[in-house]
Amino acid sequence: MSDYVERNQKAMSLIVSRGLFAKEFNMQQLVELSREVSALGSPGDLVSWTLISHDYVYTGRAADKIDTIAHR
Amino acid sequence: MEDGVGGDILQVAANLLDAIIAENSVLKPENFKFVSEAIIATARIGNDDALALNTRLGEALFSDSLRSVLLRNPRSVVMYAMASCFVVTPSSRTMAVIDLFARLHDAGATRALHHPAYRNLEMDYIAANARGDGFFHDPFVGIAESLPWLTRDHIYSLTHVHFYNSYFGARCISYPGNILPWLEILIARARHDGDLDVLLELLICYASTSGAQPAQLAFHDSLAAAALAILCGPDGQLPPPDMFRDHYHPLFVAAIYRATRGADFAPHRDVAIARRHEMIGRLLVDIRQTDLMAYLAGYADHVAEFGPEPGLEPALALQLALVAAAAEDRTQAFAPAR
Repeated sequence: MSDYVERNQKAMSLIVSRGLFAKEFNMQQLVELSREVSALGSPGDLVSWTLISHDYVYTGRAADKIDTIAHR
Repeated sequence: MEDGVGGDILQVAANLLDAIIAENSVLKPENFKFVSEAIIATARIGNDDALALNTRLGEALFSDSLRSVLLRNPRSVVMYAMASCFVVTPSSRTMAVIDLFARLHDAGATRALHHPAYRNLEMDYIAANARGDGFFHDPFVGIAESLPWLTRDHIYSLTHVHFYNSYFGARCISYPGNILPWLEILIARARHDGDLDVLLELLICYASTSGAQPAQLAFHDSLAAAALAILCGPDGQLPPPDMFRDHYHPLFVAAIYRATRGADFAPHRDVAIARRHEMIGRLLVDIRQTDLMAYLAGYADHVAEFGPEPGLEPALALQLALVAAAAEDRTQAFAPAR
């Protein structure tokens, strides 16, 4: 069994074990959903951007990085 | 992390201070930040050498130029206020800063909507210090379901508010909830990311929170020792003063961690804890990279090997509920028309 299939089965088993498995929702749909989520990428963190200010003293490095992303 | 390392850090910091004084450049932003934070670190390290350096740093920061700076803009007092709480031998100028800060704070002028929330809390903390009052704010409220998605800046806000609560790790703090599993997860994440500054700050938080487990603390001691070895480089040498200006922060945090642990410092690398950290660190990369299947499968592995992780369960429940909702949307969308 490939790592990919084994990984998906583990993920599915976890969902089933928590009783949140929607009726008629199968592993193929879960994989499609996961691909869709991944394809969106990480759009950054809007909450963080609202925290950035010019006198952000202690975490200037992170602030600069996020500022760069925000103005790209 | 040997005792002598703290002394070396102090010596390099003293050399940098000498250079700043010789250049008369304490008001350069990077130097101002260094001197301010060195005042906090030396107060917390607290040995004779540290306290002697603290006095010299205080004299450099609260110098003749202070009055001119405040005349240009009285709100500049905010920049000096945190350091004023940690100068061990305050001068009349230091006391003037505290008085002016208290006056502006009471008028509401030290807070600003554009500040990160924890910077406004910092203003409250400084004011409480100036009045001789206690300070407590629980920064961990509401993070149970957002923990895996916290940004680096969110984590800094947690560590810093805990520092205000605990006098930068000097006092042990009890929180209404059990925050230790959350701290452990964030430590595993910082370790996995190689983010030494955040890692060391989190280690201080864990060590100064009620209920800290001795086995975890010994493991954390080993992480701190390893972090210091990385920061000092393979030859164990601290960076020279001009480079130290850019690298002092994690070194100071390491020294504060060492001071927090005191005689209990006893590094021990527990293999099982290390394995668990690696799994959790990997999981959190998967979720931040939006690899849903990898995250769920990785968590299934964690459950199989160590059981459910209490610090991740609330976020997992939330995520699975969202998976179920998405699934419901899809099954309805593709249901045959009646």
